[in-house]
Amino acid sequence: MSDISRIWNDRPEDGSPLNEAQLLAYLEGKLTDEERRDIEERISQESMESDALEGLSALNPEETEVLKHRLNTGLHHAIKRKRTRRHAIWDQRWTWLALGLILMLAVLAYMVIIRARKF
Amino acid sequence: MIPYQAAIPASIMLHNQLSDEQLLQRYRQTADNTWLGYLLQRYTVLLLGVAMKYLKDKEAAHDAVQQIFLKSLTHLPTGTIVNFKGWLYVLMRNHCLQQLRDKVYLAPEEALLVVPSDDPDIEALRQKELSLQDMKEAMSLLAPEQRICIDSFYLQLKSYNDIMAATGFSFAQVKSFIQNGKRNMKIILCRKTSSKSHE
Repeated sequence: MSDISRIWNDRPEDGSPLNEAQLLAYLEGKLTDEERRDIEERISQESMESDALEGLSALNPEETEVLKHRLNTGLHHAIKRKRTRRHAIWDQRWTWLALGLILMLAVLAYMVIIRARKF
Repeated sequence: MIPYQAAIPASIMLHNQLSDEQLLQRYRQTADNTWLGYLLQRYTVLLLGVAMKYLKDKEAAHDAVQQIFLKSLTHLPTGTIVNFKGWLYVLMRNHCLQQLRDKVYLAPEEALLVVPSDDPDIEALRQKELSLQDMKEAMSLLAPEQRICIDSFYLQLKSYNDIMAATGFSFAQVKSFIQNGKRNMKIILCRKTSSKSHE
């Protein structure tokens, strides 16, 4: 039997957070007794890892891997799209500058013609 | 032939060694979403797990995480985020709870009841030097399921699997009974110590 004060000995939330690999290894039963105990003590306090482990236990490892891959690919594409849009505007800066100049010249020419007609 | 990695800037290859705060700082300095992407990718599985816990459906959970990614990319607060992981967790949880409230998903009612609440300050309890007798008394006042789970896990050092096998509870139930039992014990002990100090 152990000491009852162990109840308060959970690791602090800001200690070394559990990483993805540890959580997946726990779910797949690949940990030693000591590692498993360590994770179970951490999830016995309310935290993101605790909620996540509960949710992930409803999926099998292959499903988790497939969903993770889909999400990371989607994230990568979303970042690429945003960057491409910003790059496209930057790459066409000379075109926009030329258009602006042409517009200014046109306005200037129009004003010159109007003045010339008045005189 | 130049190896693929040689073409990648060293600063980007090092992202795994950077802390959340450092990645966030680089994102703020460069306005390059790639840094934010590295940071979000660290939490894909955790976010998926949290979404699964609340929504109980893998496609709904996938969509919810995707929406959180997009929200983070477009609406990341400009102010300081001291704890990015905590911020992301609250964002994910609130998003799921909002979906449940909107009754889009037919999730069980208890999903809304298990939202973690603020715990009484455990440090304050420690400082009050609780006797083992106090703790045992508090434990005896718990609901039977909570008492069994806490006793098995902390005193008999049983694993979750052992407790599940012995009691027939599910993984989520064991975790929930332990968490709620601990919270209730703290509340009982807080009440007890405050009534002692009034005497």
